[in-house]
Amino acid sequence: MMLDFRQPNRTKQEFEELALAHLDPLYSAALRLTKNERDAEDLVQDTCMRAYRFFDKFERGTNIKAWLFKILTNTFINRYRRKVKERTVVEGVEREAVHERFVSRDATDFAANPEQYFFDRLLSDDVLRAIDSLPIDFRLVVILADLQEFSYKEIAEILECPVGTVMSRLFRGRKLLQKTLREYAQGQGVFRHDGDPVPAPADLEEYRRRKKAG
Amino acid sequence: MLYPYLDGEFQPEERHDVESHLEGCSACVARVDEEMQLRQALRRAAKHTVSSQGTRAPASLRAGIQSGLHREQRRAQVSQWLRAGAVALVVVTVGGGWMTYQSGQAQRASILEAVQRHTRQRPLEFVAGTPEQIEAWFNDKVEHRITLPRLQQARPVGARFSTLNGQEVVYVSYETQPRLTNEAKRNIGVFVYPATGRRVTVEEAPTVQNVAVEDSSQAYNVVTWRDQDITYELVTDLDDAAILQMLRDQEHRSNGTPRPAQVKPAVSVQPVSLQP
Repeated sequence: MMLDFRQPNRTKQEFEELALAHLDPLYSAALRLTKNERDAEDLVQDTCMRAYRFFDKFERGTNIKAWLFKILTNTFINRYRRKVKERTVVEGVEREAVHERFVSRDATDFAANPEQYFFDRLLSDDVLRAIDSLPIDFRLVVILADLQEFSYKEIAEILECPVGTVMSRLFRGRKLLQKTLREYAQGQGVFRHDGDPVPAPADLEEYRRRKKAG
Repeated sequence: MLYPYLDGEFQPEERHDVESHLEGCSACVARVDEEMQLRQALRRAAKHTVSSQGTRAPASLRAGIQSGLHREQRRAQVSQWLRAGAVALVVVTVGGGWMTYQSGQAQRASILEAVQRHTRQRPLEFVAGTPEQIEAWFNDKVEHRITLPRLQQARPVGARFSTLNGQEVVYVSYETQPRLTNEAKRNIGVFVYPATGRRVTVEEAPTVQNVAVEDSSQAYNVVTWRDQDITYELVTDLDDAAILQMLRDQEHRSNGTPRPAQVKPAVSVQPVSLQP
């Protein structure tokens, strides 16, 4: 049996080349999911170690970023969700402190442009609460699409589901977000009156077929 | 079918269909506005509330991963020796040029992403014809000051927020101003973001990189340069000569310190696989 002692080194090099280039987006998504820096670091560290261990399973030439995000979301769902839930009490206190900081920052801005900043401040707090209240499946697609700008196809790959599922989760997630925010913003005139009933999400391929048929 | 449009999933002709419908339908325009407002609010909330340290991977995380990889590597080596019955070996360490290479990889990933963002056209959040208007719009919304490049033969048409490498960046869409009437207008996208805290150091002098898009005849040039603490990344299908002309004009017009005019020879990173 021929033994190449440099093999582990080469794998490590290749891993560093391919995977560590995406560390920043992984970390920013982890922050969004775990909502605190310590858990975000742990999550990304775990993700990278798992990715490294399974690196031989990664099909060279395919989307490494989507592959890494798949491991990130799986790790989060399996391990961190429970932990984050347990920490809600502590976090509430931390959130309070963050909130205070923004109130004082906004106070100065407020004088310069009262209407706009009142709107902004109201939303930042409420939007976070609304995102956190989303069921995990919806929260994931919204974070991946709106904050990470992944394409539908990439999200489908990350969550291992069909593109149609991505679209309907995204649709429902966003509608749910809007509904919650509209409730928060009731009477503030932030959102326009929602007159028309919302049409059900259509299938992208179906839309194209119908379009073609005229 | 507004979401695929808003998410940049539509082909150019499909986008065109939606846009011509929007011209005559105020109800849909209102919905598009509302959706874009929601996305802006989402991004704003995410950006401000989670971390005071910013959203870039901290040094402690990088160090943790490095030592984790070393541990894994050693474990792999040990099990290999055990299998082979080898007694001892010197651990091979990686040479010094490695950091540079790694940052080159990060830059390559970033350039690919820029092309991807540019080609997957999402609707603009702000439509305006002058750089000043767009600067004013952004400077209302971001903490750092934004200065747009003035391109002589092109004018801005609008702007939106985008994401590069997990960070919020500013994207400005330009259109060339053809001298001849039968010449088609060409799109140019410029990403603008603060240079501070970026791992990949960007030279002040523009660097042109050619990126070929697989499964398509399209090729793009990505020009990266830095002006004090702002990094610019320009994506276009124009050729090197036209880009150089544009940037020379810009330099000629700016009153600031003149940048060295030399542009590095095109670095070819093709063939490159762009994930759709």
